[in-house]
Amino acid sequence: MLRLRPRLASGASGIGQHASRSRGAGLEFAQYRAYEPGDELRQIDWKLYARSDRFFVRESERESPITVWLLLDATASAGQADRAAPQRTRLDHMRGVAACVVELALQQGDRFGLLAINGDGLQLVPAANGARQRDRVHLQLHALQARGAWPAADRLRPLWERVRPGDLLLAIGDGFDEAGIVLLEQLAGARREVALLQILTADERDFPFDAGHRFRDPETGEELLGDGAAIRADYLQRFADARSALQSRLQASGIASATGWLDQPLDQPLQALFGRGGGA
Amino acid sequence: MILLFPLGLAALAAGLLPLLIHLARRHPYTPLDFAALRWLRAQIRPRQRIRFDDWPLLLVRLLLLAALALLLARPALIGPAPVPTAWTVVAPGLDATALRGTAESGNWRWLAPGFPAIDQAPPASSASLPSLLRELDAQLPAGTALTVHVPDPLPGLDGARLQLSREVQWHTQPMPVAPPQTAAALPQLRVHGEASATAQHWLNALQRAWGVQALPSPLAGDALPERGEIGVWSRSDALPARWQTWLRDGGRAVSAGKPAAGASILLRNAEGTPLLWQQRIGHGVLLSLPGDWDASSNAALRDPQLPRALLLALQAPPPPRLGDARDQAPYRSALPAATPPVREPTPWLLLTIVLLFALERWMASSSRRRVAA
Repeated sequence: MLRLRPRLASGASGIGQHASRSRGAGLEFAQYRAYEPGDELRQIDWKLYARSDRFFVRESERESPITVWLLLDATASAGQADRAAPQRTRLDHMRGVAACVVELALQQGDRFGLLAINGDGLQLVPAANGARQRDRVHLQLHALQARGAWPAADRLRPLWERVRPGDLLLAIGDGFDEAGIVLLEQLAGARREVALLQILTADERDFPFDAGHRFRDPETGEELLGDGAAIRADYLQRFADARSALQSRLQASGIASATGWLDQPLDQPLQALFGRGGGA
Repeated sequence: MILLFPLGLAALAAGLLPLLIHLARRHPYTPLDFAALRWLRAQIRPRQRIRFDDWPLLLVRLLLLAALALLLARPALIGPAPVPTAWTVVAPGLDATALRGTAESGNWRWLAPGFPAIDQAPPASSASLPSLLRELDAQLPAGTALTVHVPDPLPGLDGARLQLSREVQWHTQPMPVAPPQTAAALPQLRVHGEASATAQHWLNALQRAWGVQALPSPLAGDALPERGEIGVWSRSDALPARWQTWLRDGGRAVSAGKPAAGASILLRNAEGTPLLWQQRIGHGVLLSLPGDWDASSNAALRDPQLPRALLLALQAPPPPRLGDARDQAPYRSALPAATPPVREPTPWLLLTIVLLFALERWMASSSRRRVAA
């Protein structure tokens, strides 16, 4: 059973499943405090009164809903697919992961919204909850196309207006765009709860090319002629270094991260982040 | 199996074409989207490795070209040598059943074009029997015994003596043949206009010696003899230009002029002095009998051999067409080996090519379908 759990107790609005900083009546005991005029009589702990002859009011943590934002990196690099399964692109996998998160949020009664970024700019589904919101998100996900490069920062300004402090923002993407990482760091620094679900292809992990190929960066159009077998070891080394560098950088900013692979189940990064023993 | 046109195998070189196309098609690498390009570093240029994908299709295409090359090379199958069976051929006109009553076995045929079986009605053919025998000898495989029944005398002889590549049992059956009544037309002399009386006198005598009654009237003026006639120029000077042209176009003439240096001697007298020369001029023949044509003064004209020599020179006797069959028994000689009958499996080869082509089309289109799917 997966649960979307923010690490920071947040939210002061509504009743939900998440720990909140506002105390009050509820199930989970938080503390006793001295009676103040105006408190309901039924909140007084009479057993404690019998022991101490003073009025104490029993306070519980209220559970509050959170807002989950899905930030999809649909730049052109999301159109890449493994050679073994050319029909299934990185964007397809990202859609699947996003749909999983939407289901979880729906079960938990959380509000959720979608932020999709591609060369055209930011496409936004405002946060809401309920089954109809799921349909809206699915519709937007379905229409999403992988193209272009990461847009300029000023085109992403609506994002700052929508994602409020304390919201949970799940970034789903390849994590190759420097601007994207910088954005996540800024969001995390501005007290947003940020996690990165990095979706990588199996080709990027294994580099199974053994003949000559013309590799092309889908975003910059840059090309490189290389013999797969000859450059594999160097590439794997550099790629692993880059990933660990990114990992430590994200950790320094307090951003949780997990990696999903195109040839592995959809929920694998979610299990790593929110499953038993994983995440925060 | 042999190839009737081995040079056609050079078309096998066309097999290089699909190979080259297949390899050349690969050279421009299809770009491969790879987002993690920044961690790639080109160290070594990619090696051109020879790799065949879709090799079944390539193989079928090569086979198709090879089959086409084979078709050009015209392969021929040499069948197993047929078992030699004795052949007996009977010339049409002989009584086959009577001949056959003595020996039932063997392969009995008529000696006629196509060599029909003896059971059929005797074909009425006028083909030359020696020619048919030569044809049969060339067709029959070596080792086949041949028995021949021919009429005696044997008709249809030609210039050459019958020579076959095998021993032949030669049986002759007497059969009366009406000798052909071919009265050979004797040469007609035609004297030019100004012939002297002595010359005409001698020519008349010559005609009478040949059995022809009268000399036709001399030519008027400088008229030319007609085609088929033999022009006579009794003067010793050269022939007139018109006569020369006529002679060159195929005429025949007798002249009293001196023979040219290249003329051959046809007749000498008892002492060995040449009397009569012959030479070819263009398509024609010129006989030279030099001297004054006066029988009282010129001894050469009184030579007893002259009329016959002239007649032979002007009209060679026809070769005999009918001969004693026993004398015409064929010689055995080493003839060039008859080429065995070959079978060309062209229809099967064509069928193979069509099937290969259909297979190639099917594979090519289905592989395209697979990519599209």
